[in-house]
Amino acid sequence: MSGYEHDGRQSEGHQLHQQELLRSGLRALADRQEQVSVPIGAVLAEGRRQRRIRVFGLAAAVAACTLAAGLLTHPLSTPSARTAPAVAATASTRPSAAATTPRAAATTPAAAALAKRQLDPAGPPAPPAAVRQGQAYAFDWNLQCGTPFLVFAGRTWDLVAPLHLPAGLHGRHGVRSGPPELPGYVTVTGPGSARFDAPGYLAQPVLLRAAPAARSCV
Amino acid sequence: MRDSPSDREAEFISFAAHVHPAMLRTARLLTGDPDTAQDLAQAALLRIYLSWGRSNAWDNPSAYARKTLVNVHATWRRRFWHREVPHEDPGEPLRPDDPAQGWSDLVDLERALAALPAAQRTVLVLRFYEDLSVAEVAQLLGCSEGTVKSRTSRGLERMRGQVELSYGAGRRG
Repeated sequence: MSGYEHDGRQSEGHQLHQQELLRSGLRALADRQEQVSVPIGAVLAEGRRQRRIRVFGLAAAVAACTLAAGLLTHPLSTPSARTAPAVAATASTRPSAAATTPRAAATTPAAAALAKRQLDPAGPPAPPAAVRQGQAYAFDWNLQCGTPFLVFAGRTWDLVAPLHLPAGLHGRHGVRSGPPELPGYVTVTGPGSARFDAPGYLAQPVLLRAAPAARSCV
Repeated sequence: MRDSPSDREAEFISFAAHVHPAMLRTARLLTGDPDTAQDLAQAALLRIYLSWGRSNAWDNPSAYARKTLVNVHATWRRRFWHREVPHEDPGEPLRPDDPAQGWSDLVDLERALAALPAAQRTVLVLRFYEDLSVAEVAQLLGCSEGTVKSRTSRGLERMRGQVELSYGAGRRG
């Protein structure tokens, strides 16, 4: 037997001996733990309480999900209803519905809430029967005459500042199908002022003021 | 057919009475404190109660209780790590005149255990008190066998530096 093997076996034996000592020491240490009665009453009471909380939480979650699902599927909560002024005014079947319902009147016409519109090949949105101040109405701005003015709700509106049109505008039925049009929304903001928003086309709203007289291209 | 809730509770009560003493002893070694050991054992029993009856695949309820105890202890460590300060000297006064044989040796051992990082302490308790193999400890702790081996080695090394593992040698003659 070589010296290395002898030393290795001695070291291994020493380690095993130490581990055995540790084993007996840990057992002796564990024996010092005072044995107390099983806290079964406390465990059961707390366990029942936590189970009740779990059941209650589950029920609350189900109720919340049900409520949320109900709200999301409600007709007035659909995305089209949330942008009620624009879409309702776009709908040719009920052009005045959004203007007359309290919900539509209460809708904020903030430009940020308006969705980008596309030209409808079926034709421009029907003009509103009655214009409510602060409400956005879908409007396709016909640019045949350029951009000096627009006609909305029977009135002519001049631009407060010149407008630089974005590139790529086209007619209702596609490129070169007719005079270009810019789909957007008109909001009457005061007795003689209005605003034209074209989300997705114009970065800023176009400020308008009521023209003293009607105009035409020619 | 599932047992009724009252049957399940009766089973649990019987189970708790069976495993609680062993859980308490292991908890004492894991925590180093008798009062905390009682809290730990109770918290582990509570967790077992909350999942009691969900699984019929408990081959070894005692092993499950041990695993739950270790897991709860690990959770406490993670949650209250800032409260745990491994210390060289717990401040407990020595009582050399204690009549119990080897009492001061055990105090040294307890101090050395308390001075270990909790992960090493857990591994040593599982390996040398619960007599689990490296593979069993690795499975229980959810770590690799290499981790268990290295923690064991480091734990033993640190303990050797703090306590002479000579207790019991005299008693064994």
